[in-house]
Amino acid sequence: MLKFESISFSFGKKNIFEDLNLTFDTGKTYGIIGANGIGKTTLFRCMGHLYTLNSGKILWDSKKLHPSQVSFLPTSPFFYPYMKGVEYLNIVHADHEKIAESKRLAQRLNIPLDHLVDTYSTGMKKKLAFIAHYTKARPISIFDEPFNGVDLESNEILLQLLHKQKEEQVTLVSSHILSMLYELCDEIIHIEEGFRTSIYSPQTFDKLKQKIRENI
Amino acid sequence: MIDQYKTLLLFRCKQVYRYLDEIGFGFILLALIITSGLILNTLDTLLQFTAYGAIELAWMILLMVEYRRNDKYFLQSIFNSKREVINYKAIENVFILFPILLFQGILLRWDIIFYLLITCIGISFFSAYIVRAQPKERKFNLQFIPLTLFEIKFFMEKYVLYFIFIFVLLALGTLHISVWLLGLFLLIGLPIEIYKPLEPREMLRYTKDFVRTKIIRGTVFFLGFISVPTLAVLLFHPNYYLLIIYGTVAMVLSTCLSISKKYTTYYGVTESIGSTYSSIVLILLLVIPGGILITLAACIYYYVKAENHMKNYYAEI
Repeated sequence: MLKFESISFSFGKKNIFEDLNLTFDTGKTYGIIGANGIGKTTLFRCMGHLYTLNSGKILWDSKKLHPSQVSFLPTSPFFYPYMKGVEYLNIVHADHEKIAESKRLAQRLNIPLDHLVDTYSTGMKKKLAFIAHYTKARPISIFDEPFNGVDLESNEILLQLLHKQKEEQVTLVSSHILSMLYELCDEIIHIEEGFRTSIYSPQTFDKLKQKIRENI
Repeated sequence: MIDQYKTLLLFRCKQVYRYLDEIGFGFILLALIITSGLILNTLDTLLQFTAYGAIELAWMILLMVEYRRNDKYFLQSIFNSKREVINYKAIENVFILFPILLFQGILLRWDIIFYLLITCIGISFFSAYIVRAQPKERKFNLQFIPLTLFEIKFFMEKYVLYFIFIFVLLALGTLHISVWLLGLFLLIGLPIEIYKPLEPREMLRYTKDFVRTKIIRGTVFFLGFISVPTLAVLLFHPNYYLLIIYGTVAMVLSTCLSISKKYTTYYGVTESIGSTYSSIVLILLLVIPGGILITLAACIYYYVKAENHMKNYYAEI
């Protein structure tokens, strides 16, 4: 189980979230939605230990979460210039089996691994980074807007892969495409102004849509 | 973990090779020949460095690399702990300082090598704990530069400290002419970078003699920028008047060349990176005797080409 215990984070004087408490069950996939700039990515970066919390704790099975337990796919993945797809996979993974698995998936998603990543389209870059993070199979997998820029067929494959996430994992997916999240998630967490959170289960997904429409 | 270090370091070497390959080894060779005097002089200085000097230089180089690198989060995400990131960066820092380490090794200066290695580890350790500040909500605005000089305005707003540094160097030229020369040398290289991005077509208001107007505006700005410290330097070192005139002409040529080259192939869609490298070589030619004639000829050629290209592009009759 993943648990946020009264976590707070701010950029200077600007509070992003304060005294946030949330619990995520193992084996479940959670959708995270909220307006642009509300702090979703900041929260993910805190989980990935890229930012340091001001206060509070993030616990995994009652122990402090370690960076090696988290894999985080950012909205705009980083690639070194002059890097080939295959080199990216080799760098991200230390394990030969995982490299082989990544290569198989890359073939399935039509990614030309022997080409320079600089020549890839946005969608191809996204798919390559997705594969690398997906095959890491760390206990907590975070995907920040994984479907953006990806073609329809590949989106279907990504959905299938996310469905297959292992039972001992917690998967967090941020997206602005509600239909994808409906299909994929066990619960959706809606973040509103002031980082107020509301949790929706498949039975109440319709209410979420209604609420968003009311807020416009 | 060791395998991952090896893969990443091997890739970094390949990356350097691919980068140099894209520039063209011919260009690099030419640049090396032109600047060979400068390089040999630098090597000589490096060999004579004391332990303190070598460490200061190492700190400067590594801090600059650290500031410029944007793979910090990526490295944190691929390695399992902060310690692994620190170790990797320390090894990479050793690679960066390898030429200095090698020279000191040839001279059997083990104390300097030891201090340099400590510096590599020290910087990688500190960098793991430094969180870069978030981008500011509002952009720094230099209102005294009009929008007609948008390339200079945007560049200056982004690197204002660099311009202040150059201005201080130019002004300190009153103490010694070489400081003024250093400041001017740094400034001469800037127009290539300033005029590299291509503005979208919607931003470009074509008028008759477009390139010429642009060159005059840019040149006047840069001459204005250097005028006060240069006049002061001329007052303090009147016997160097020929050198000062030569430097100023080089500044003007660099501006003309950068603007002309930008508009020789302007379509407002694609960026022509290749032209930057040839501009660098043409500007480096200013350092060798007689080189100014080649740069001047290139300037005239590219100016005519740019003006014609823009006329055709905007279908001027």
